[in-house]
Amino acid sequence: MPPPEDVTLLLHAWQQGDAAAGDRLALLVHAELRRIAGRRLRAERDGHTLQPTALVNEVWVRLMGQHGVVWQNRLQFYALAAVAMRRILVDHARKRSASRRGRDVPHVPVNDDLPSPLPDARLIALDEALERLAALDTRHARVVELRYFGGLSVEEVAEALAVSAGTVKRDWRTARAWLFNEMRGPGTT
Amino acid sequence: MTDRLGYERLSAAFAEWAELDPGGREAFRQRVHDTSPALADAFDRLIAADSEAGDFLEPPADGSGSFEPGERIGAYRLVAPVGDGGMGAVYLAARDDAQFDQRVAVKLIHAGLGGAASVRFREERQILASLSHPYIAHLIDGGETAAGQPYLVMEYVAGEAITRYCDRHELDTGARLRLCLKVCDAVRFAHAHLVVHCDIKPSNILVTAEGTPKLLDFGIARLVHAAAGVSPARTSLMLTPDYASPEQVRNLPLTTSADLYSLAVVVCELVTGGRPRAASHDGQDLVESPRDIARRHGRRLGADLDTVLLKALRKIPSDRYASVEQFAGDLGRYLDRRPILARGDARLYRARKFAARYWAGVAATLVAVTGLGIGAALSQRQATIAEAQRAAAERRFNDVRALANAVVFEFDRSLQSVPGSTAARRLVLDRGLQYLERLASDAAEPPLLRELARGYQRVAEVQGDPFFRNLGDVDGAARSYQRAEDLWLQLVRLEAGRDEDREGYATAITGQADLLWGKGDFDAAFQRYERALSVRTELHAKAPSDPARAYAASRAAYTSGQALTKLGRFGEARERYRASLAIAEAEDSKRKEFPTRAATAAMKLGDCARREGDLDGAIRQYERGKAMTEALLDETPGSEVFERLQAFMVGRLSLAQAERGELSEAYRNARLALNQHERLAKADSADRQSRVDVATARSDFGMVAFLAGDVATARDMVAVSVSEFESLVRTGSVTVDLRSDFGVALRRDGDLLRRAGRPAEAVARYEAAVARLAQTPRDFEYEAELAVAQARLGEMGGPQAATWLRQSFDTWRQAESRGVKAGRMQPGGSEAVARLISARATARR
Repeated sequence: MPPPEDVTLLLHAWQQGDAAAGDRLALLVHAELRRIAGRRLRAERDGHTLQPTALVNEVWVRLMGQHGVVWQNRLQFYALAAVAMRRILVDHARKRSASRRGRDVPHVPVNDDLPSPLPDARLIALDEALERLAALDTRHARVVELRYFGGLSVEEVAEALAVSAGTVKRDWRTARAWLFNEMRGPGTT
Repeated sequence: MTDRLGYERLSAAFAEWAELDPGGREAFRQRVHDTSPALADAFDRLIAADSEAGDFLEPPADGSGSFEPGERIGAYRLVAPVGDGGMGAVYLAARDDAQFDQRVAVKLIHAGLGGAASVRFREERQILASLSHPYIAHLIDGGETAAGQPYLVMEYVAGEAITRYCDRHELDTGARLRLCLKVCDAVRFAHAHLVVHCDIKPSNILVTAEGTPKLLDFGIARLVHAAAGVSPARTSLMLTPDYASPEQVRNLPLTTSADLYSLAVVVCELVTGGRPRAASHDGQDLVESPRDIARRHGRRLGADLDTVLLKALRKIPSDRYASVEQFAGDLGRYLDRRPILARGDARLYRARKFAARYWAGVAATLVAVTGLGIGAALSQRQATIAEAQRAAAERRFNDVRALANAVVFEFDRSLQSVPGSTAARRLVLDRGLQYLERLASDAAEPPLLRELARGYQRVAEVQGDPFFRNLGDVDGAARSYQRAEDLWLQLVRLEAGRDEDREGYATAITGQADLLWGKGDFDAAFQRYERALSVRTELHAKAPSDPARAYAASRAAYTSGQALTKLGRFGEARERYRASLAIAEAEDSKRKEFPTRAATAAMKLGDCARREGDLDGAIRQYERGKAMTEALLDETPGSEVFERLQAFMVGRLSLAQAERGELSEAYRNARLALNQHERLAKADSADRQSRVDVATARSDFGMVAFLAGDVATARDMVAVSVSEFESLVRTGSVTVDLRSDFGVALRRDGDLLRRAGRPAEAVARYEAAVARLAQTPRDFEYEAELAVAQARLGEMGGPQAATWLRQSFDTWRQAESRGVKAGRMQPGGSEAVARLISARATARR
């Protein structure tokens, strides 16, 4: 784990447009998230109570150590972390359902009172649906990713994507409804 | 829907539909069906999904799902959500029991959690809860939800951001500034309590309908760090860049100066209409001056106000006002149409030439080093002196007074309980001393002499008091004490024994005595202690209701007791401790020195009891001391002085428990004590005493571990403590206590090595132990330990064995004659050794 100053420098550099810094940062974030998430996931059964947002927050604090970073950079971090978080959770879910041979059903009927974070099968389904959505509208998928996996508020997503809060709200509402249908079974929308 | 264009049309239609009222929606839906049949089906399904989705994918508040109105958190019932702060959701709530009709704001904190983090969170919360000021939103309570999510309960403030309030009420510049002065007072108050806000911005400064400003989220950033288990050292997690100081943006350590900067940005915004931007290149502080910003917004800004703001917004913290108080002072002067002080600033900083300029150097150092604004008083004096026409003597008198008081007295006191400040103190000390020496050469009048004597005394205290946080310069301290003592004697002779001169004298010789004791000259130290004690007792008797005199008498008795202990006069020592405890406990005043003294005296009485084998008595005294210390910690949580004391108490307790055979308790406590000492030592690595404490605690823990059967830990701990002692001995002055504790650690290491089947190394250790414990002057408090070490050498055999055993026997006899009883920790009373000797004698025949 590099000292916190390096992460800060990377973030600054990335903000200035240094793509290589962004890559390195993504690796760091991913590694750290994986470490923490792994620990948590092992302790959870079916990921029912796992909160991606809490994890991302925790990684933020750990990576930053005792130094805070200016707000804009924090958002960028969260954007990175959201992607990493999604990958980690889904990969983990896939591994686990692969080990439960045969009992895994890809399409689980949607329940109204299902709490979000989702159990393995639904997480995988969400991931796939999100991929399909991204092919149709990148920004809509990104909004969902940032909100659900990154835990950003509407205003923060707006800032991160450089659009208005109203746009984010509309995107979110639409995307959410679309995904809801998709997860009942692909091709039903 | 499988193509981008299709989705785009679908979502556009859906978005439009969502904006309409029910009647309009139906019509719209109809239109879609009529004009775009290809879309219609998907559109309907989307609408259906929208209403069925419920809270699908909705991100809940971390930890346990979002809270609903009516739910309880702690003792509070949530009424309604009132916003989403950067750190978590905020709810309006009320106390659940019908007793209070108090509205509060409950704030949940996003954070990862851990066990130690909760402790830190609670400690920090207590510090913030103690901030009680009319313009600060009070932190009432806090805790963790059932799911482990931290939350805070704060005074609910119904108000609007200060910027909006001022605009809505169309306040003129004067009114805005007056409002800001109130805010400044709140910030000043918090700084005086060493709390930095870190995130001052208009949305954190609400103004109620009555026009009262309230500062929110003071130090909340620290709490967030605490909740996440990170040491809340410096910056906040989530800053608004617009109000952040340059050092915050660059992640440099923050001082109260960062708050000053943010505050100045807010003031600037209120009076000019815009916010200043820091210049990205060096050489310039801001992109444009406040005056230019005002012009841009069609307003006018007074020249003086421009100057004041510019000074507060300088890029380098030490260029700004030294404190919020100073800043507010100039704002006030501006309002009263008086000349501001900032104007003279440029001259002062550039010219460092004439006599009064010594002040500039000292003040600047202080500001840069502490950021606490103590230098403010000095800069202010500087300005006043430069303007006033005073006689040279009078001016110098004031100089000394200000130096002694501000630099050495208040400054040092305020830093005493902040961990990590040894280097800062050393710096200021050097400057102070230089200045005193310059003045001492031609001082003659009693008032000046007195101030000088006090100045030297204070400097000496910081230079080398071996009992408190010291900087390791014992010889310098001795010189300073001697100077002080000479000055006091001179005064006593000059002014025929004024009380304050006698007190000064007593203080100076006590300081000298402390140093002598540290060097091991117990007899000389004891004589001075007794002299000081008689002066103190006399003074206390003359004015029994004066708490300062009472404390001094209590301390004098205590230190005499310590000296007597080292001299082996245990009975007399106990009398002194009793006296000390009695005086301290009799005192009613709120000052913390009394319970502290009482606690340490109780601890010493416990040691006396333990030495005599009265374990019940010992534990009783230790528990007493521990309870007193914990009460002190409750009142000032985070105080390193009390945490140290607590660690000592717990450590002592573990020794007595080990003696009694309560080994698992002893083990636990010894570990706790060691952990605490380690933590304190980490907070200030330049401090020698903490490291000594760690080594001693580690050696004790090793011993207890051994008795408890955890030999592996025992070996590690004792071995490490030996190397810690070695390092300490190599790198600084060796007090008698240090030498003795080192000797004990060596003996214990020898025991463990012997057990591990390494007799040659064990012998070497024992020899080293004896060498230290038998050194002159002899430390009779450790006489029993010496006897044990000698016995061990005897047990190891070899040609000298008989001699060692005999020596051990004699040493034990002497110790026992002083009332010492053998026990687990110091095994081998004289009969035991006698048996051993005769057994050996028998074997050889």
